[in-house]
Amino acid sequence: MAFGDLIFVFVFLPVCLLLYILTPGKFSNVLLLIFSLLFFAWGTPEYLVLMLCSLAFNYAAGREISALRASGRRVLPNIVLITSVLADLALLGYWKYAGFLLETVNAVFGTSFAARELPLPVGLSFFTFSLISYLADIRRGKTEGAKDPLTFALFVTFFPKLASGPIVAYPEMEEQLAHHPFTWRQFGAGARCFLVGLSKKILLANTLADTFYTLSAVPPEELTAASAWLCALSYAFMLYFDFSGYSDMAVGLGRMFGFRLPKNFDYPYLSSSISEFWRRWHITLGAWFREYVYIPLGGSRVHPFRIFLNLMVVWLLTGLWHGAGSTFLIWGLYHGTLVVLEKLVLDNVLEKIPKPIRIAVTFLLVVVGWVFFFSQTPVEALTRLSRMFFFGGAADGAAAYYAFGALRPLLLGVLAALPLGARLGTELARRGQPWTLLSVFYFAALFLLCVAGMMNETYSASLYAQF
Amino acid sequence: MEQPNRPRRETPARRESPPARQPSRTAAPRPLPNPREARKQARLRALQRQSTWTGVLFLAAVLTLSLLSLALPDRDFSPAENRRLKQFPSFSVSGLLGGSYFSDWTDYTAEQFAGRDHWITLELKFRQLLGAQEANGVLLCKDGYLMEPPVEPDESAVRKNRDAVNAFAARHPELSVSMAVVPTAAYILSDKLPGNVPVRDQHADITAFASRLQNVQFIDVSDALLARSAEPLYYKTDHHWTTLGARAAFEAMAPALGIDASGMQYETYTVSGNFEGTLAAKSGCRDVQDTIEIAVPETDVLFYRVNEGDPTRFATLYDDASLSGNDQYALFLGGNAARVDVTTTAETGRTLLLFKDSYANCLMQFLYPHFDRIILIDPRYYYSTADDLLLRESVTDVLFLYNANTFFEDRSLCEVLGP
Repeated sequence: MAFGDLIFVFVFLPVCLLLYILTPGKFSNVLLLIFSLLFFAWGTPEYLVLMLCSLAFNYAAGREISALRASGRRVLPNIVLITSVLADLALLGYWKYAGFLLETVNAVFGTSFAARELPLPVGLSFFTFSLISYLADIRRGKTEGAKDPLTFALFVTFFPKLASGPIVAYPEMEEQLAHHPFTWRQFGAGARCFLVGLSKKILLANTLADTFYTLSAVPPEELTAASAWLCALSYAFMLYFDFSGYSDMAVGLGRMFGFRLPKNFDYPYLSSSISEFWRRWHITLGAWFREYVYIPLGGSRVHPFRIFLNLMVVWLLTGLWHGAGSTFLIWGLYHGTLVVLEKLVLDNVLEKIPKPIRIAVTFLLVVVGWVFFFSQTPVEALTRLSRMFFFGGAADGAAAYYAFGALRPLLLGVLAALPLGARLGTELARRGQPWTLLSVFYFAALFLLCVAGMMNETYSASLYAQF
Repeated sequence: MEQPNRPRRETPARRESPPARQPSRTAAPRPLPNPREARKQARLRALQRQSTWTGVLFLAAVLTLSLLSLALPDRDFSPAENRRLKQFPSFSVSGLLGGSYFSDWTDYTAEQFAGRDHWITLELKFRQLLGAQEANGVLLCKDGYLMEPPVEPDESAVRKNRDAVNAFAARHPELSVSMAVVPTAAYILSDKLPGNVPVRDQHADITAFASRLQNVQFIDVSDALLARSAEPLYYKTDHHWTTLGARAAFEAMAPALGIDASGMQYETYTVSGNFEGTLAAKSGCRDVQDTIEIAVPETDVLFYRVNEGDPTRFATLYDDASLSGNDQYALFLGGNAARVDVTTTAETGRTLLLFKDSYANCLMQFLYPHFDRIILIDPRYYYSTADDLLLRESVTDVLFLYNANTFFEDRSLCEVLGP
């Protein structure tokens, strides 16, 4: 079940909301937990037991680390932490990377181990990271962890963030888990955020997906420069609206139930450097890697060579997290290299370049990165890039046809990737009636178009749901 | 827009202190609010008003649509989509554990949603507004035409069929064997295609195929159809040709088939004005309805038709009941049967064995007065072999008639033609 499914918006959400409004405060967490587990079990009910075991195990580990820390032990908490984290990673590895690993082994040693095709548990990559941060935060004394197992279970499985984040650290949610009253104002703000996200996903991402999937079906060596760019650009905007839309929906849903989830995107395509891009794209993932990988490795306070090494480790893992495959690995290393270059070499040079040019160059570099991200093999990615940079014709009739279909969605995409809409909304609200009402009807119109779009979408699931 | 030169606050710092950004009702009021602060407060209150309204309207819309979907009776069948719709899933433990219960419920919600067809139309309009020129693989062409793009020939299937046809013709030198692969609308009406749309050259595929036939007379009807492409040769909403298209092709084929039809007159009748064909269903585009015409030859030849599996002898080529059903093209011969026999009083001494797809169903109006008997075989549903049939029937002529899109993906003809 995805947030853009009719069953979610018209069955799951209203039932959950009505029960939540009617349920007395002290039972509201239990209710949310039940619905979260239902959300988890919807696609893959066979994993519910696995999820419950993982919750029990990590809850116990958290309690243990907390108790050992309180009794002043120094080494034992680390041992418990490391074994539990390894266990969590083993689960992630088994479901997500076993296939890739076996493929690599087969390729290197000429063996033929067959990988089992297993569906991924919903949000596996996301909740594993939540669990690791939870245990690490207890070890570091940032929190004592949850005393109540139900609270802990809700922290991990809370359905707005379960499938695709944002990845929240326990200390950030601790207070909210104890107190998250329903108010109409919060609900409304959440609904607005949800509608913005839904529109991004259904109206923009899915429309751009049409162009992208048509173009990506053309053999790359037959593409002209114009078509190759259209393909890459439609992917860049499709991915942004798909994922940021999903994150907006998550934040909005959280808010409907009185939670404040951190935002995941901050107009990333307006970044003026790759480092900045990663502070504005999938913010909570970047923060997680900084907090739990980069800084423990020594961060920036070590010898430049170690910084380089640390950064490369982080980016290698970032690439792998997005998918088990060599193209993701290359994509991660590509971004890592750019970040290292910016940090260690170009720091002073970049300052002198006018900002619009930096934004344009950063965007181009990001789009080149996406080509690796969406290509099936590194060779395909290189073919596409060579086509983009005019090692084939510049344009042909087909490109004109594709451009006709992609132009308006892309223009809308560019507008929506700027903070214009949000400012317009605030401005309208500020002017008072009838403008406020008008802005409300604007959201209503968007919602109706989304329903139409959802009706047409039984096949296009959120791109990030599988990561 | 952000001033380009204004220094930005570092993003991490902003993230670490969310409360500073977030409106908080409990913040203590400042003793002396400056104008700037007052404006900020006003903006905040306005946004909160907007929020509340949006929330109320959102919940109202969600509840209205869910309750409406619940209240309206479920449909068994969707004429628009031409398929059965999901019914409310019955609960079972195995369904629950296997995941099918949840996925059935997901499908049920979508398929029984209030006003489903209207939502899909709205979606298509929105897409077209944004510049979409195809929907679900159907090209949205000029003048309300819907067309399927020419398929890419399935090389191995085409080779197998070609070898089988050649071998069949070589085995039966006593028969006069002809073949026609009819181009589809996307080739004949290419001026109606969306501008610059990249489609295959279907005629090149047809000629490439025809050039390697042996002992088979290939009849290219493309030029005859192209010459009359200003007339409605194809339905706008369906992948078939019209009676007029079949007639244009027949007149081009007749000399090659040894038929003299020059003096034949036809009485035409319009039998339907509300035909929405397969392409309308596939694309969801319902702007246009087609008319169906039939052509009745002015001849004394009588005939009866027998469809396999039904002992009835029909004295007509048409199945009127289909006009009130969902697929009105089934008017011709009552749709695709594995085998149809048409026996006539023509007394020409000729029996035609016709291997065909649904394009031939409409062509029969023009063929029947010229043969004593016509045996139509649809290899997609026919499970015996051609040689077997030839042992039992005294056939003089053989015709293979397909449209290019079906033929270039067909895997059944070679099975029927045998080794």
